[in-house]
This record gives sequence, structure tokens and C-alpha cells, in this order.
Amino acid sequence: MPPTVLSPGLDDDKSDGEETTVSGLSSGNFRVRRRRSPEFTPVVMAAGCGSQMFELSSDTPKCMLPVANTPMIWFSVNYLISHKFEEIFVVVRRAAKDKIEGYLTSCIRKLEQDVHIEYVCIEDDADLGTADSLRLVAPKTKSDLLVISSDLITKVSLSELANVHRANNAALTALIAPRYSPPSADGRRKRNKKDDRDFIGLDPEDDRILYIANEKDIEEEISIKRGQLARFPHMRLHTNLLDSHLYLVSRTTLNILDNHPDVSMMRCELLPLLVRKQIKQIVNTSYTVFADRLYSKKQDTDEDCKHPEEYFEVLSEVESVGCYVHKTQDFTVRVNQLHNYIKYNKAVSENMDDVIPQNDMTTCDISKMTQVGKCSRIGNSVRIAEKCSFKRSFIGNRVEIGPHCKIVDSVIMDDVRIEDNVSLTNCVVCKDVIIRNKCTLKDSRVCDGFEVAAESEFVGESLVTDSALPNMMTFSICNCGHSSDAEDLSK
Amino acid sequence: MRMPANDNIPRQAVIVADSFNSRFKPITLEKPRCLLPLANKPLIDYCLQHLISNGFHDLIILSRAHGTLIDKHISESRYMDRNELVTIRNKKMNADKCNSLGDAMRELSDEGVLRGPFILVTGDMISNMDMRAAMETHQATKEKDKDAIMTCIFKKVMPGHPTRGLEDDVVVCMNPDTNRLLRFRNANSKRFDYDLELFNNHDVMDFRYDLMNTYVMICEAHVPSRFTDHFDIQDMDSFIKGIIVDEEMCNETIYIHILEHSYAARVSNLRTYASVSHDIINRWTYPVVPDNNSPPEDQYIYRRRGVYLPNSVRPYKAVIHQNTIVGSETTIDRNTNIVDCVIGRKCEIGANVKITNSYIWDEVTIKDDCVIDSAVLCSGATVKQGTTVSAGCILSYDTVVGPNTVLKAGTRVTVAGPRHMRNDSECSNDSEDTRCSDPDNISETDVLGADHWGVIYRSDEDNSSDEEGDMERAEFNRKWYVRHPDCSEFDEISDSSDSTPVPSDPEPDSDVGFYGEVCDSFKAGFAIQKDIDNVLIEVNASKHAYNISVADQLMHSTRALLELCPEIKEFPKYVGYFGPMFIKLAKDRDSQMVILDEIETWALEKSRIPDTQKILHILYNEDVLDESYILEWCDSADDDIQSSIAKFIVWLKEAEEESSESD
Repeated sequence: MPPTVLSPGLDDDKSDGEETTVSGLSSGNFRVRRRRSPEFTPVVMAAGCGSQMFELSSDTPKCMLPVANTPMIWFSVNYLISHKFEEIFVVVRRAAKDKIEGYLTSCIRKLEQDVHIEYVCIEDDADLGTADSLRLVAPKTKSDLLVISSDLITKVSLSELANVHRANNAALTALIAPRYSPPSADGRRKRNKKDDRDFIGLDPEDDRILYIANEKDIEEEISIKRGQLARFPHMRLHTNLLDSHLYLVSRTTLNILDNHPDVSMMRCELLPLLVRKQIKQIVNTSYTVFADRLYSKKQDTDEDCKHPEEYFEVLSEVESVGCYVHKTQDFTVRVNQLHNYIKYNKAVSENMDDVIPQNDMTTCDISKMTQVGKCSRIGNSVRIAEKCSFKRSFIGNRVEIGPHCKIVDSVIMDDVRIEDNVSLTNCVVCKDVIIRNKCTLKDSRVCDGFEVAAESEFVGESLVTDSALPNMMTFSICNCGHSSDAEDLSK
Repeated sequence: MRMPANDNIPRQAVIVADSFNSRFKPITLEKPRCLLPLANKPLIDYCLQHLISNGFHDLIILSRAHGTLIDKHISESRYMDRNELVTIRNKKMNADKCNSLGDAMRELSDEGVLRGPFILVTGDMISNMDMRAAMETHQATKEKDKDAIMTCIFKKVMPGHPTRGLEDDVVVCMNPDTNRLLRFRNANSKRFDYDLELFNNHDVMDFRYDLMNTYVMICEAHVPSRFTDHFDIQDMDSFIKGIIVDEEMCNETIYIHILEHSYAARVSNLRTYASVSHDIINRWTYPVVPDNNSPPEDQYIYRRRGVYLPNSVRPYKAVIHQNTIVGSETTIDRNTNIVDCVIGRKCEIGANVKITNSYIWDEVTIKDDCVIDSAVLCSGATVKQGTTVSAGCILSYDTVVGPNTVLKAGTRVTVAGPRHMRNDSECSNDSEDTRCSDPDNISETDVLGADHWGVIYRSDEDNSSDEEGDMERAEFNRKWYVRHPDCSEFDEISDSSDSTPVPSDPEPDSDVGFYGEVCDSFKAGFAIQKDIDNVLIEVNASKHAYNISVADQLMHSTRALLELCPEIKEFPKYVGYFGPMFIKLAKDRDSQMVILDEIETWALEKSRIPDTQKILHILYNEDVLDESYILEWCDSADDDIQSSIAKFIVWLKEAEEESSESD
């Protein structure tokens, strides 16, 4: 195993709580890297704490929660690797850094590819948003940024998105996709009332973003400014699309970000700011300014007058702000809400089979008397006793299951022990949980380290250890709707 | 009339011929809005012609104010006798009982004249749209949604376009998949709020500020009865809002149809009156243009730069610049400049008058040395000598202003109205009259001139509190006149996709350019005495390059010949050289007339009247001009020219008699 090298001079003494660690990894010898600078520098936002699924993420960082038995950060990192990115920035919380780094390092080693991941740490208690994270990354590269959220799982080809970005000379290009919903029996897609809808207003002519907001940020009404409609009089507002939180961000935007130090969040603050800026900009300004400056320059020093096109480049970067989207029909989900968690586990398992690492069945000990249904996945070193049945369920690593268990539509994470005659339906069981004999759980979540007593029955509950409780309370009063959560889980 | 029982295609059209507002006051005190002339044709004629050409043969007019005038107009017009299938009925409504569109619709519902779906239009609509497409959409919608009661036709017009009045400044919210209208509101606030509830039933919604309601609606037969059910509804907008917002009302739906390429606009106020006139002159409304489909006594010829002259007219002594219509039997004296105007029939316009951007109706008299800028002069108005009518003035019917006065911008003068007494006419003509009818104690004589007839009109200020009143006043006080360069940029934006020909903007350039080329060819050819056929080839080539008609080519050539010749003494030399070319070009009557007209115009413009005789003589001697055409032309030529060439004419006549005798 090659050693992890801490590069000198970039130690913990940064005042703003930023720590940069460079871990150099290569298949063989350690060598100095000289890469040609890529068009985009990818940044994975993995510092989210999962406020909408806090019951699951009390001990595990959100990006490490398994989706189809795979920590979800792997999907975005693998996505970037498959697009031949060799240097990837990952923004993480300091506490979660070791966990994530350890996991990704082991994964990449298996790939035998020359990929370099640089971790950007955010202090655990720092109140930094995604836009702040961008500020941390921006000085480290000269190219445009590709910002991807660690909870995004998608099959979209990045080149299409990049083409939209290039063609429009955009300040920001976002990827949007139809909200995933499994085709139901009657073929009609139903909206889940629990979903937070993204309201995305586009110019139907060129897919320019004219309005963007999430339902949870809107109080009662959507308001549209007249000035905006006067400039772009036709706006098509979509409510059934998902803002995938995959953005291409140009240097223009990063400059704007520097001029607005109060902007902290990308989606709620930066994006609306850019959308507003499109409306204020005056057409042709860039050109006239260009002519003026060229003229004055000529008078000053005739010889080092820049080539006109260079001038034009520079100024158009400053003057024009355009935000666009690329609409895709390819499979795209964001795993960020509890009620979707089980549903998306199944969907990802079906759609992303080529990406999910295959488990090593030789390490498992599964009784021949046990039935494992088609849509289920079982991790490594799992021991399952006889006469169990699994349907559409995901069993993590090192799980032990006693005889006569029935597990349907459930996700069981690593190191769980389930004793005899347990029935789980539509449940999420987190790490290190012990479920004793003859328990029946339906539509429930069992949080890290909980021990379910023998013969208990729960329907639509969240089972939390006392020690984890205060931790969760910090996620505000989100848990007001437990019963309704449960309803959704049953769907 | 044959009509299958289950036929759902609208065959009747209801024309609302009253606006239920007072945007055009004081003009509409005496005549209804729909009879006002727009490009010298009554407004309602555009609407009737459009409906008849779209196959509607049963037209019902709802009129309120001045209903009898509309009756008279319909009976005098030629719609009835041309096609016996067409029936036009005018339902006159009681002005006291009927104060809004809602009242009119309620009355219509009681009458029971409607037999099925129908088209509802306003009498002030100008359009060249094909209604079939809209009716087909309505049929298709109707099959999908039984609750659809109405399809409104909207025209794509960019915000700020001059054909959009303040009340047309609307934001439309619709479902782009079905074209169902979801919300409809005026854009009079800085931001528009939409309830989240609206978004629950629709995945995709279009918010559009680039649509204008044409108020052409395809209605199901029970639409008027909806007005009866909800007796408090006054206007169409609140009806639409009521249907689409209040789902309890009847759970019915309204759809919209969007016109992308056809023209549609309403003359809902003076501002739109001005811009629609301009659009007609620039042929955006084609085939609805002055030189097309007009009555035989009122035919126009479309000349370059958007100038429309009566068929029978002789060249005026005046200079008529671009975008102008001049009605028949109008006389214009010398040294007068007219730009961007509509001038009616039988007007008398004096010398040294400057008229820009104005709308002058029939039988208006403008004396010498007047300046009229962006004004409306209604039929029978008189502007006395030396008067300046400033921007935004309205001189209503039979008013008199001047002499030697400057009317302040925005002055509206009328003879109608409560404050004016008919029987004090002597008194008002008296220059000693000190009647102080306005609160500022300024005598109207000071404002309107010594010989004035009429009073200054002020809008009623009693309807002040409500929002509608505010709008009304804002529209009333808004500058109604449109400067054309301002609106041209909107034209470009809104109609860039339009397939209709671009208006005459590039033409002036091409004329000037072509004339320059002709002069150059002539000069060069004459200097080296080139073969005249080669000169003609050159001129023909530039004719194609500049896309110039044969008549214009001849006219420019004539002008070039006259200009090229430095002195009249030299003229025979020039004609000797260029003569053969002109003989080739001017073989028939029309082209001879073009040459003669151009000589006349040139002589008047350059004050070379005394030289005319010599020029004609030389051209006659060189066989360029034919004597019979000279005589024919001379009868209608300008008086001064006639007198200056009298000798030549006498001589010509004698020569003709001699030759006929000798035969």
C-alpha cells in the first residue's frame, strides 16, 4: 500500500478552519504529477449533513449512507472517474473525512486508475454553505468548476451538458431531469405530496433559467417580477423537474461570488443572484465598452494593444451572465429525503447495475434453505440462517440473520444482527442494530446502535438510542411528521 | 339559411360596437368610436369586411351610443347589396340601462337571437387573421374538454409595443400543453404573485407577457347566459377571471389560441389609433391596406416610401414625404410639407404648412403658414392662418382655432358637451368674448385664438377613486402619439419571425441610390458621348440592382436629365443625346404621363415654371413627347404651369388642327 503523504506547508494552521490534505495515490511508484489543465475541475459536495434524513445519518455522514449497498458518494465519484477526470475535489466535514477518505481510497485502488482526490475540509461546527465551499476550491484551479452533489445518482452524459455550457457561453449550466417515479400500474405518474418540488422557470426558446426555487423556500406565493417578464416575456415554469444539483460554473460566476461575500448557499442564494443578473445586464454593453477601451489603449501604447478578440473575450466574460439548463431524460435521482430512501434504493439497484461493485459471495454464508428474491442485494461476509426470505431488500456487510426471518422492501445496513423469527416490512435498519427474537416491524426506522427487545411490534416508528437523541434534536423540529413519514414509506 | 342541426361551427358573429369607456373623448361625444375613420375608412368597416371574408354571414352589432348613426352607416354601405347572404342586424341598446359589456351580453341573452356557438369581436378590431385555424382549435379543445366555453385569440406582441394599450398590458398564465388559460392579470404592479395552489394541478405552466388579447372570442352559445347568471360582471376581463379563477362558479374552462404571424390589434385609444394607422400604412395588415379592396370612388395608388395617393390625383405642389395617405379631392397648396400623416377627403391645405405625424379627417381646412404636429383634426375642423397646433392636440368636429395662435400641447377642443351653447355662436366668434369657462380664468380666446369655435374639453374627473378610473385617466393623459422611430425597434423585435414583407424602410435608400447611379451614368455617358444604348444598359442594370419599377426608372431618368442640364439653353444638346433613349422607354400613354408629371413636379419644386414651355417644346421636337398626351396632361396640370405654357399649347392645338385639316 503506497503511503499517504501529507504535503508540507499545507497544515492545520489555516485560520478559516480550512485544511487541505493531499493524498497522492498511484498504482505503483509515487511520482510528481504534471497534468494538463482540464476544462472543468470537478467538486463533489459531500459536506451535507442530511437534514431531511437525519434519523439515518446520526452516526454516518450522509454521503456514506448506502444506496443499493454502496455508499452514495461512490456514485458521484465514479461518475466523474468514468468521465476521465483525474483530479477531483471533495468537500467534506472534518469529522467525516477519515471515513470518506478511507472508503474512496480503497475503491479507487481497485479501479487501478490514475485518479487523484483532494479533500477540502470544513470544520464540523462551521456554518458554511455550498457557495462558501466553492470559494475554498476556486483559488486552487483556473478552470471552470463542475459542482456535483454527493447525493446525485445519474447516468447523464456530461458532454451534452458541457456542450450546452459552451454553446451559450454560460455563467452557469444546471442539469435538470424529470423527477423519478417508478411507472405505476396504470402507467400514470403520480406526484408524491411529500416531495419538495423545484420550481424551474425557463425560456422555452433557449432553456435560459428565469426562475428557480424550491418549494420549501417559497412561503405561499410565487412572485414574478415585471422587469424580468419585460426582458424575457415568455417563461415556462416546470414543477415536475428535478434540479439535480449538478452545475457547471464558469469563472465569471466565481468572480461574481467574490463580489458578493454574503452569498453562502449555492442554490438558494447564488443561483437566484445570477438569474437576477441576467435581467439587469444590458445588451451590447460589452461591445461598446470593448471599442472604447481599445481606442484608449491604442492612444496610450500602440504596440502592446491587445488583439481585439482577446479584448472581446475578457469583456464579454465580465458583462454577460447567462444561466441555462440541460434537460435530460436519463435516469437521475437525488437521495436526500427519508421517504424516498427505500424507493430510490430499489431504483438505483435496477438502473445502475454496472456501477455498483459486485459483492464477494464466497465470503457469505447463506443457508440453502433461504430464498433471496430477484431484486435483493446482499453484501460481503453476510451470514443468513435457514428458512429466511428476502424480497426487494438490501443487506449490508457483516450482517447476521437468524432463521425464519422475513424481510421485505427493507434496507439493512452493515453489522446488524437479527435474531430468529423477525419480520421487517418497509424498514430501514441502521448500523450495529440488534433485533431480538420474534420482532415485527413495519414502516419503521431503527437508528444506529439500537437494540430492539424481543417480541416487540412497531408500526411507523423511529427507534432511537438515548445517546443519539440530542444529536438529532439539532436537526430542528423536523421530526414532527413521523406518522406521515411512515405513511409515505408504505407507499 | 342552411344549417345542420348538429353543426358546431360558429356562423354568427356578434360585434360589440361600443367601448363602454371614454378614451376617445371628446371625439366620441358626437360619433361612435367604430365610425371614426382609420386610414380614411370607418373603423367598423375593417371589422365587418374581415368577418365577411372569414365566412360569417350573420352579423349582429350591439350598439349603444349613437346607434342610429351606425344604422345609417350600415344601410349606406355596400355589404348588404353585394352579397344577399349577409345579414347585418344592429341591436341598439338603451344607453341608460346598458352601461357595460356585461349588460349588453345580458340583453343579448334575453333576445335569443343566437342559434349556436358564435364569434364575439369588438367593433374596433383590425386584423388579417384567418379565423379557421382558431375555430379548428376550438373544436379540438371542445372534444377533449366538454367544459370549454370559450377560446380567446391572443396575438403575440412584445411588451411596450405601441399597439398595446395600458389595459392590454396583461400577463397570461396558461398550460402550454393544452393552451388552457389559467390566470390572466393586468401587469400594473411591479411583481405578480401566484398562489402555490395554482401549481398543484399543472406540471408545466407558461407565464407570458408577450401576449395581447385581441378580444376576438369563439364562444359557446351559453356564454351570454353566464353573464345573466352573474349579474355583477361588467367587462370581459372580469368575466374571464371569474371563469378561470373561481372554480365554483361553473367549473368551466377557457382556452386561448395564439396568433404568431397574422396581424391583430384594437383601436382602443388614441395611442393605438396612431400606431394601427402606422401599421396599415406600412402594410403589416396586408391585405387590409388602403390600395386594396376600397370602394371605387375612393381608390388609392401605393407609391414608394409608403405614400398613398388618390387614383385620380395630379401631382401636388406640396412635398409629401413618407408614410402618408392623402384622400381624394384634397387640395394642397405649394411649399407645404407632409410627413407621416393621414389626410382625409376634400381637405383644403394652404401654402407653407408643415404637417407631421397627424391624423386629418375629411373636409378639414388648414390655412396658410400653419404648423401641425401630432394632432387629430376631426371632420370639418378649421385651422386659421398662422396657427401652431402642438403635439397631442385634438380638434373635434367642426371646431375652429386661430388665427395666429399657438395651441398648447394636449389641448382638446370640442363644440359638443354641456358647457357649449349652440346659440352663442356670434358671441364666440367675437374677439371681445371674455367667456371664462375654465377655472384658471384663462380666456379661451387667448388659448384657441380670436376666431375660435368650440371649448376646451376636460375629462370628467368624477370617476376618480376606483382602479378602473385610474387606468382610464392614465390612458387618457398618456401621450397618445407615437414617434415612429421609437416603435420601429419594437416592430423588429416582435415581428422578426414574421413572414410579411418588411415595411418600406430600405426603400428611400434604394431610390436615392438609384437616382445617384442614373445621374452618374448620364453624366459619364454625355461627357464622352458614349453610345446611348450602352447608357441605357447601365441604367437598366442598376434598375435591377435597386429593384426599381419601370415607371420609377423613367421618372428618375427624367429628373436626372432635367438636373443634369445646367442651363435651359443647353437643353437641346442634352435632349439630342438622350432623346433616343427616352423614345425607347416612353412609348405608351402611362410612361409619357410619368415624364410629364415629373417635369411638372420638378418645375414646381425648383421654381423653374417659366422654363417648362421650352422644355416641353424641345422634347416635343425630338419626338420624345406626343402632342395628344401633352394636351391631355395640360388640362389637369397646375394653374401656373398651364398659364406659362399657354402659348405652346395654343400652337400645338393649331398644328393639330392643321394636320387634321390637311388629312
